[in-house]
Amino acid sequence: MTLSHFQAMVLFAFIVSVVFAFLSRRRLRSRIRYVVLAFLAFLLVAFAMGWLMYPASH
Amino acid sequence: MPEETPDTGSRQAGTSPGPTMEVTSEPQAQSPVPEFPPQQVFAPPPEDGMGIGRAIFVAIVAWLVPGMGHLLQGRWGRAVIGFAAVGAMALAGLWMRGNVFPPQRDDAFGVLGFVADAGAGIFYLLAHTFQKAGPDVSHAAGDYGTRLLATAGVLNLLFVLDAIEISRGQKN
Repeated sequence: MTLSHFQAMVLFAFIVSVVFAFLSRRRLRSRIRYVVLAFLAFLLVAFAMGWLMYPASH
Repeated sequence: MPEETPDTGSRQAGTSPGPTMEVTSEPQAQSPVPEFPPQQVFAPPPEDGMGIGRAIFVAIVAWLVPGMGHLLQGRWGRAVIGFAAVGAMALAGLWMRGNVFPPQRDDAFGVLGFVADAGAGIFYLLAHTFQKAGPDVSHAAGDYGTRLLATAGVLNLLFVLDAIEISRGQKN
């Protein structure tokens, strides 16, 4: 099985978000909200860091 | 010879003995039981050996099989999520041919890698079963797999700590 860098990052972000939500929140609604926000934050930071480092690759 | 009484109220400094002191010391002599029960005044007693032993047992089982520590304590949701999350991430890392750090390493990063990988419990012990071809970090996918494996172990360690806190009554 081979995943691209982006796919591996999405897998990492989703699983870590779910685990943190279940360990730190009790109600289902707050857990879902935590998963969505943490997952989007992971993606946002990854894209931001990628674009910040983009000039260094050229 | 004067009679010695257990009442210490009449021996306080700066007070003069008299009828007033006798009146104030009477309720103490008549009601030796404290006003509040001891369990409300003092801290709860320290945990006995059975509680610590149970916590150690839960920690070992939770480390060995991700989610089992919560399952033993009736936390089905966290147990399922723990096993699924750790298992999915560890298997993805193994199938991507990530590096599995052995116990004996000379450098500090190797030791950290071993601790992180070993945190996955049974998925670390059975790593060679799932990864028959061995690790291959010459490609980028193998490097990603190494990180996923380490993350799986660290996540399981978080579940172990959570199970210990639940068994000791520090977390609901």
